[in-house]
Amino acid sequence: MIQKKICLVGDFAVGKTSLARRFVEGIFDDKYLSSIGANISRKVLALDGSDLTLLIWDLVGGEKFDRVIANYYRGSAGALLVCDLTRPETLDKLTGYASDFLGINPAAHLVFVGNKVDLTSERRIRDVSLAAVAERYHAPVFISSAKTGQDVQQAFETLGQHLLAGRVS
Amino acid sequence: MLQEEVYFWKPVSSSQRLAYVLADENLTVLTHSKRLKAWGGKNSGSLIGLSLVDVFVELVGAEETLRKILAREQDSFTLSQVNRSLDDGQLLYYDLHVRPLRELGRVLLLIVNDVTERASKEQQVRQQRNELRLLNAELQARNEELDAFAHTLAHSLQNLLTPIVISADVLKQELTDVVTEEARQVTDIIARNSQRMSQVIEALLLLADARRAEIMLLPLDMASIVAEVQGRLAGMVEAGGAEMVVPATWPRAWGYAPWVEEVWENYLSNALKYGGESPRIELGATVQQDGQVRFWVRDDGPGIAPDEQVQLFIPFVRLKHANLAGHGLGLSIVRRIVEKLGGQVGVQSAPGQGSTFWFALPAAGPRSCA
Repeated sequence: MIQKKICLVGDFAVGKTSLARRFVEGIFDDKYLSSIGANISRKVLALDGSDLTLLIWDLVGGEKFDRVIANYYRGSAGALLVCDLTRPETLDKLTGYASDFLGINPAAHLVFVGNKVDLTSERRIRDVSLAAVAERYHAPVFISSAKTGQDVQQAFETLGQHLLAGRVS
Repeated sequence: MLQEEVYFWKPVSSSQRLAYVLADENLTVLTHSKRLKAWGGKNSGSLIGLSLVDVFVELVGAEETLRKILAREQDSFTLSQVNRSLDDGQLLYYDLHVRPLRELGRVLLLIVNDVTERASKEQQVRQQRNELRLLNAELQARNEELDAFAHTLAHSLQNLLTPIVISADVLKQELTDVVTEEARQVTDIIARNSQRMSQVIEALLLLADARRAEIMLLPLDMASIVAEVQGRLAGMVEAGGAEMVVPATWPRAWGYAPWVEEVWENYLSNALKYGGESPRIELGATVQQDGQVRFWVRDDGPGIAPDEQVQLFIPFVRLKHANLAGHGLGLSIVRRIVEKLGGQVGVQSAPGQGSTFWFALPAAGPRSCA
């Protein structure tokens, strides 16, 4: 069995915990509960004939990059970089998160996620803006909703496929 | 939530916060404190013989780091406030600290410190802080939307008004001999009020743009700025029989000259309007200990009551005694642009004792300039 550590990275309140819970447990809670430290969960994916166990590190957001955060990142094979489509500043910060993460794990695979697409009337980030940021890292993009489940599974599975492909090559 | 086949340590006693695990160079558990026991899986109970990384999945990916610690290439490795949701819904927070135990050869010591109590309190504080940050961001976004709306509206109004202002002037000049006195008065009213409306719109534009404008701060030539404003207000000074006292030199400050001109013009025109008959208006500047320069305008007018002072810098608020022409935007613009420049505004006044309006900007250096 292949086991990989991945991180959920992004500013506070972008929905990292909700994405993890939707993916692992299939549930969603509208109430915002801020995270501290790192919450670890696990899910086994059957991909391309292989079982891939993802150890998912849901990390505190909005903190400056320091040794504590660096140690959370260490040993990760990939990351979901998450922004909140209703808050443009969360997209602005994603390149900083990506660069810090790749500084610790240069060979890691990234997937960019614009979350909360269900909040249509409050949306302030366009697809092309997120795609432009992801393009810099040659990373795929997903427009998701932890609330409805839209593209959550696909985002994690795509990262998983990249991890498997990276392992083979 | 971690699935049941995953091994994990389980707290046996709530009175102990610390626990330990010793592992050999193959990262296999040699022994551990009784506080820890395997939880889940087929080997529930003792951790001995299990892989350290299997039991503590937090260490997956850190194997290389652990080997460096064994080889004495690295002193230690710490993961703070790692947390897991247990089956019973309890959220457990703990710090993991790994270091070598050199007395026993190539042996790793893992210390598990249960920090749930402290972390729960920290979570509550962070929750409140993040909620405030979200509210603040929302307010900021709404302010930006309002500014953009005001900007668009003011531009549209200005575009519509410009031909009216020009047409009224043309009417005044071209039709002097052929219209009645009443028609001339009506034309004057149109010309005067359209000019005034244009000024209000200009002020609205400045107010709307100040917050989002990108400007470069430079050391100000305050003597030139003040001289420019005095030139603009020369007619008012003469009409009001005012005396204006200006210092010979000014301390240097950082700012944006076109906006600082607006500030002086607002303060000085207010002093001319509300400073009483034949007012004596004194200008000056004081270098403060907080690294700012306070520029001020003092008049010998009737002064302002404390309850009115607090409303002075709010948009569209005009004081009871301010019965001269105005639209109540001036001081709110002053405040917004000075704050954008990294400064502050204020007033010191008391009824019957005149008023001193001031604005402070970051000091640019010790040298004074004329």
